[in-house]
Amino acid sequence: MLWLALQFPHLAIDTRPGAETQTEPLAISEAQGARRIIIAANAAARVQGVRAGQVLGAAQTLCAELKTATRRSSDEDAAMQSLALWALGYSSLVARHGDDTLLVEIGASRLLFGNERRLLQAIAVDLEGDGLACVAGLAATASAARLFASAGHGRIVRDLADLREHITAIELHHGDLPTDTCDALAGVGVRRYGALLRLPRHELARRFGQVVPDHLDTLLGRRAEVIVPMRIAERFRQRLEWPHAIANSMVLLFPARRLLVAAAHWLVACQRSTTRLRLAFAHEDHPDTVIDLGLGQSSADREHLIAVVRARLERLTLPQGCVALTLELTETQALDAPSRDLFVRHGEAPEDAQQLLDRLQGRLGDTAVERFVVAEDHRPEFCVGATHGSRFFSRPTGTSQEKRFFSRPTGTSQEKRFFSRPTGTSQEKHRDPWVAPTTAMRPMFLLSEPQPVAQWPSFDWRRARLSLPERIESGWWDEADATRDYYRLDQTDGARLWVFRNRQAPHDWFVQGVYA
Amino acid sequence: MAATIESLLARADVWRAGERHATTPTLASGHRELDAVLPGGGWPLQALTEICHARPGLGELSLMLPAFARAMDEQRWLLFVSAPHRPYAPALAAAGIDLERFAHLRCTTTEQALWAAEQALRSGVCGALALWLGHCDANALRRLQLAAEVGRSLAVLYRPLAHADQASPAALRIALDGEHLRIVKCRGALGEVARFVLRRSPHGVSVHAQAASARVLPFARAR
Repeated sequence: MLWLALQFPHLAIDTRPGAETQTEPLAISEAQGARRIIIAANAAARVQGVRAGQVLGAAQTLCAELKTATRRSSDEDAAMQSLALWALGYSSLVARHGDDTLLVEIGASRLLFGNERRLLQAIAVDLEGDGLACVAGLAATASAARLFASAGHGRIVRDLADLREHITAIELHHGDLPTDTCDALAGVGVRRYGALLRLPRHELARRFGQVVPDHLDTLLGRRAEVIVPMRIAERFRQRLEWPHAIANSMVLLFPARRLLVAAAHWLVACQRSTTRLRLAFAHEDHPDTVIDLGLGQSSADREHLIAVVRARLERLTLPQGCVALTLELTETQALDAPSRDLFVRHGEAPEDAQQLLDRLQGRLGDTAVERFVVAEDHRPEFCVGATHGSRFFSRPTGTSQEKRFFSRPTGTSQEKRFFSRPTGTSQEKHRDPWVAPTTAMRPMFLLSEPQPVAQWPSFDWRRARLSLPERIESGWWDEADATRDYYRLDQTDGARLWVFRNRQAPHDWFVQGVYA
Repeated sequence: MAATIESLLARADVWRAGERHATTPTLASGHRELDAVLPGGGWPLQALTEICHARPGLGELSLMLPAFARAMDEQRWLLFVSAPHRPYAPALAAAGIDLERFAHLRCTTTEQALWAAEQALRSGVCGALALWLGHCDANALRRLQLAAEVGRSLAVLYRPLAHADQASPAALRIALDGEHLRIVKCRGALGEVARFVLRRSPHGVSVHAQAASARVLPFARAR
């Protein structure tokens, strides 16, 4: 086993956007007993000597204009949770330790990434992108890795036998020993692990408690350490807050991106993909703006999700500045078998049609992408099923259709959406067993509503030539009764239209299609 | 001086009148008499084709449908962007278009339509794309032409006839008025004929060369 310990000592500052780089000194404090202790300080405060672990009063003496903020453990916890999900992309065994440390077993995943160096490089690249200060340690036992991270020991110690010589120079307080034990050991002149290891076990246990030899055994791999692997939440829902309201929707892309990255880690970790996600923008005194985004095809790809959300944000107008953002994956499904081409490396795969349609739909609106299927019905307006959105249902096939013709069941919701009337009202469609496929030429464009000929631009009866009529009589069973005579109408200016008149009102002519 | 001219002539965007070869790959139009005239024997791929028609219903779409159907080989898509009416699926299916790889994008503004068309062309997903636009500036057309050069698509732009007289970067420009089809501009010179007659047939349109037709130089505006 090879453990990678990632410690994020600066998390309290790093989880506050802009806090590290701002010019006013800022420190995060926490009440410990009756005193307030500094947990972390930003760059401006550190210059003036403010350090983690100082009492608040001492820090304020060092730096008069120091601003303090109370620690928000929930933010740090969320950040750690997100990091743990990310780490699950590199290893199946990830554990959290304390408030700020992640333990990742990378020994088993080395081969997947080629070799150890590449794996560590990939991890380092990801961490750099996150903007979180991190120290790392790599060793054959988890607690040694933790110790190396905390002490800033840069070596990789793969062999248990080598651990002993590498820890000798490290000071005791970097390890997991309780503070009072460390102090007591310091009292007898033992400050480093080297001195501690030279002392006899029994004496140590008798004078400082069993905890000391146990700690040494765990460190050197002679005693098993209990590591509780990360459990993954069943649903993904994360919230991000920030101190100032953001009104520009493109600036919101940054927090949205962070949430989407966490969501993508979650999806990879639990081997799922999402088809629908919800973004809720919280305002100070206004109900939340909620956006539901549907994807045509389920995806777990971070860049694709970001592209879809970016396209949606581009046309988003918020009623008010936004102070918090919640991302929820409302629909997920188990990941299909990997579809990535064996020889196409990640990042080089061309965009597929579904991704393109998702992106276009994100920008143009949910009803902008129209897809079509042909249904068997003589009435032209029912002959085509249009589906809005990039999602496409395959045609229902099967034996139940004849039965449906007589019994008129309401049908499943999918069929309803599928066969909805182009005008928008949802209506159950029947398959007519006597409909023979028509051979007559149909127009390329169909008007959404038949239009009286008088309203058609440059329409002139004197210049019109009609074809033989085609009678279409259908729909007596579903309240959309139609008895119409259809003609192809050629105008002398070259335009060919598809016109009809109702049998009941033979003098009212309508244009329904254009032979483009 | 000679070297300068040589280097100029080597540029992809410079062509000489009278040079009858296609600079881009082409796709057979499905109309024999038209193919005989067009450089490379068909509609240009990786370039914009502009069809200016006097009014809807002249067969402007039927003219392109055989090529659209062929452009959808290799699992590629056909996209319509901001068509004037809803495309009627049975007619498209009858023309050999696989509806599973066809979509219509409804756009409310010209900007949206241009954006969508550009994205679709650049993605390389589309075998063919048809875009309907009213007025748009030369800059937008230039962007479309550049996008068309990226993906190996048949890119067709439909505009009103009034725009036929305006400059456009499209590689092939066609004016359609009544049954008359006229090639206004063609990159890589034309053959003998530039005027055709569009005849309606039960299953689309057929294109016939007009008998009495003078040789038309590229760019020269006929009539």
